[in-house]
Amino acid sequence: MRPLDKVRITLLVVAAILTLVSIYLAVLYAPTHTTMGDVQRIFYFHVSSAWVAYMGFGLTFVTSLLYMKTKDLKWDVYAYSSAQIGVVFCTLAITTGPMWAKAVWGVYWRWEDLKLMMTLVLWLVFIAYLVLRANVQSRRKKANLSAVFSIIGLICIPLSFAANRLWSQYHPTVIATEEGSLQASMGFSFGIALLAFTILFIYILLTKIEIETMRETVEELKQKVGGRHG
Amino acid sequence: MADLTFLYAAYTIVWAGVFVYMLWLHFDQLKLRKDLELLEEVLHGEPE
Amino acid sequence: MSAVKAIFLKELRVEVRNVQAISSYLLLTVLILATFRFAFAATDPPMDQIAAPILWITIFFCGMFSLTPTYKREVENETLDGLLLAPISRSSIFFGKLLATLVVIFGMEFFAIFLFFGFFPVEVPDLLALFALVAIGTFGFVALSNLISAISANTSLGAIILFVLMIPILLFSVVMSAVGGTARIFAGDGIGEVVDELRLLTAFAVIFFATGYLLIEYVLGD
Repeated sequence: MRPLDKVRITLLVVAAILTLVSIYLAVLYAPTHTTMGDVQRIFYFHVSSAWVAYMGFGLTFVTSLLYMKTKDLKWDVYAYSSAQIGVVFCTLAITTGPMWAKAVWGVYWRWEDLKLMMTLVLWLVFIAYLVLRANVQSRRKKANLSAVFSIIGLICIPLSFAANRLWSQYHPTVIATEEGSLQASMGFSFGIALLAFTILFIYILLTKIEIETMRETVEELKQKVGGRHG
Repeated sequence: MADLTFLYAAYTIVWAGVFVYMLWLHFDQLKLRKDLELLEEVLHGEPE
Repeated sequence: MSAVKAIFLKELRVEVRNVQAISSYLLLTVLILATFRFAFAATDPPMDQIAAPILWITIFFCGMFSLTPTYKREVENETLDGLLLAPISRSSIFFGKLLATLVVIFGMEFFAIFLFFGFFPVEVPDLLALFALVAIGTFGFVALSNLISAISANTSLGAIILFVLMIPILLFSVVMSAVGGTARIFAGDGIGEVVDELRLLTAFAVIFFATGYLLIEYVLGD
C-alpha cells in the first residue's frame, strides 16, 4: 500500500466519524433555535456545503494561476478536480438553502441578498467551466482555455461586492440573523460540521485527483497501443 | 409540521448527494483501474 | 500600432462585406424587440419599469450573436495559423478585432435604440446620459465577448457555447449596473445621478480590457 492510500483511508475514516458526530450534534445536541425552530438545523450542513463549494472554487482559481505560470498539467488536473467538487457541493447548498429560507423568511429566494446571488453566479460560472472543458478536444488547449475562463469568472467577484452597496439602494438588505444569534452549543456543533465537511472535501479531492491522473495515464497508454497496432 | 418536512428533505439531499457523488467517483475509479490493467497487459504482457 | 490598424481594417472589411450577416443581425434586433412588444402588450405593465431591461437584453443577445464568428471564422477558414505566424503580437490581433467589433456593435446599437423608441416610447430627459451609459457598458461587454469568442472558437459546439460561457460572467458585472443606471435615466435622472453606475461600468470595462490583453496569449497560442 502506498503512503498516499494510507493518508486517504485515514481521512475517510476521520471524515466518516466526524460526520456521524456532527449529525448527532446537529440533530440532538444543539438546542432548537428560539425563533426559527427545528428547521434551523438545516443551517449546519447547508453552510458547510457552501463553505466546501467556496473552497473548491478558490482552489480552482489558485491552481489555474499556478498552471498559467508553470504550464504544468498537474495544476490543471487539480483545478478541474476542485471545480467539479465545488459544483457538486454548490448544488447541495443551493438546493437546501431555499428550504431553510422558505421556512424562515417565507420565500424560497431573496433576490436582494448578495450572498445568494454570488453563490448562484459562481455556480453558473463553474458549470460553464465544466461545459467548456467537455467540449475542447486538445489536452493543452483544454488546460489553457479553462484556466483563462476560471480567472475571468472570478476576477470581477470582488468588484461585485463593492457594487452591492450601489444596488442595495434599490433593495434594502434585511440584516441576516443566523450568525448573530448563535448560542455556544450551536457554534460548537457548527464547528464540528464544518470540520467534517472540510476533511471530506480533502478526501474527495485527493480521490478525484488520483482518478484524473489515472485517466491521463490511460489516455497516454491508449496512444501508445494505437501507435503500435495502427 | 411543514417545517420538519423541509428539514428531512434537506438532510436527505445533502447526504444522498454526497454519497451518490462518492459512489460515482468510486465506480469511475474501478473502471479506470480495469482499463489500466488491460492496457498494461497489451503493452507488456503479450509476447511480441 | 500599425499592426492593430491593419487587423482593424481587415476585420472591418470582412464584416462590411458580409451583407447577409449584417442583415441577419439587424433582423434579429427587430424580432427580439417585436417579441418583447407583443409579450408585454398582453399585460401592459408601466413602460418605464420594463424599458431598461428590454433595451439591454436586446443589446446583449444581438451583440453576443454577432460576436460569435469573430474568431470562429478564422478557425473555420483555416486562416488562424497564418494570422498567428504573422510577425505581430497576439494582443494587437485582439485589439484590432476588438475595435472592429466595437464599430459593428455601435452601429447595431444605434439601430436598436432607434427602433426601441419606436416600439417603447419612453421619455428620456437626458439623452446624453443614456448614450454615455450605453457606450461605456458596451466597452466592457465587447471586451469580454471578444475574449470569450476567442475561447469558444476552439470548441466543437456552435454558437451556443459563447452564450453559456458569457452569460454567467455578464450577470454580475455589466447586466446589473447597466440596467440599474438605465432604469434611473428612464425615470428622469440626469447624468449627475448615475455617476456611480458609470464608474462601475468603467471599472468592469478596464478589467475586461486588461484581462483580455494579458490572457489572449494563452487563448490563441498553444
